[in-house]
Amino acid sequence: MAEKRTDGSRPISAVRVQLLIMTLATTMQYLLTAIRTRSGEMPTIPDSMLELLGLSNAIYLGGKGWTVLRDRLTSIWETRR
Amino acid sequence: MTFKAFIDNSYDLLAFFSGVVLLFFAGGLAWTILWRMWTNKINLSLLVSEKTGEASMSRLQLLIFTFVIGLSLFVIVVGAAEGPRFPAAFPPEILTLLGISGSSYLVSKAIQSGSTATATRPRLTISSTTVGSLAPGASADFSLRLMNVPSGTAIPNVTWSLDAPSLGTITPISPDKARYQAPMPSEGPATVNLRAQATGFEDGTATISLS
Repeated sequence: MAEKRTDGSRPISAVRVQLLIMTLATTMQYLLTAIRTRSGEMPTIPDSMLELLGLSNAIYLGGKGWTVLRDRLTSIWETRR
Repeated sequence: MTFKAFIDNSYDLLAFFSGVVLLFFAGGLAWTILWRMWTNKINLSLLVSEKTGEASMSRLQLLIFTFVIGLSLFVIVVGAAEGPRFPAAFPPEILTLLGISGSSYLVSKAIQSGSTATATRPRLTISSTTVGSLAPGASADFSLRLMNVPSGTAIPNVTWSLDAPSLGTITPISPDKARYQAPMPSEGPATVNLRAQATGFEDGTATISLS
């Protein structure tokens, strides 16, 4: 759950934690529904859950993109000093 | 029996035997893969990791969803009230779920590969990154090099370890060298991942094959 920074520290990453929670929540919800289903048809997933999962993934990717950008800017800044 | 009935019956028999052959082939393939995983011939230590050794959430998510959908399909097929049968339709929401997860994985990979900071980040490199088939009880020495650092940089405090399953032992013999000893008696052919870690550096890794 930790992200590795250029200075070697490994703080807990909130964006990773929220994605893990959303993944586990979606998984549990779907598995429980599937176990209860006796119709022989695959159960669907509520649209609201898909939207939440999409948002969660977007936050994760945004966070990851920001980390990469920050590392790159730090690297450029240290080279110029 | 008419000719038409005979032909129809033959096709049923052919379909049945084709199904049996496919079942044994798929089962054999599955057991071979599981056996190779069990004996460490298929290395899964970096299955949910980035190239740098960091955990990858998008890989983990894709793996979980793939297994959950597969497991659910199995449960639905065998748990149907009127006997096992394949679902008539696959809900688009499930495809959307896998699409979100797959796209997230791809974008994550793109971000990771676009990171020049990763390429220029200080990292440890272990020499002789692959040892060809080490005999039981035999040892091999490994040394470290520092990459992407100014020349003359002192060797940092390095922690040597073995990724799970940690077969054998690793002992530091100098600040930049360590000795790996293979387990005795042998636990069968296996692959061991050696890892060197230091604060401020990307991990260095090496692969050792045990005979």
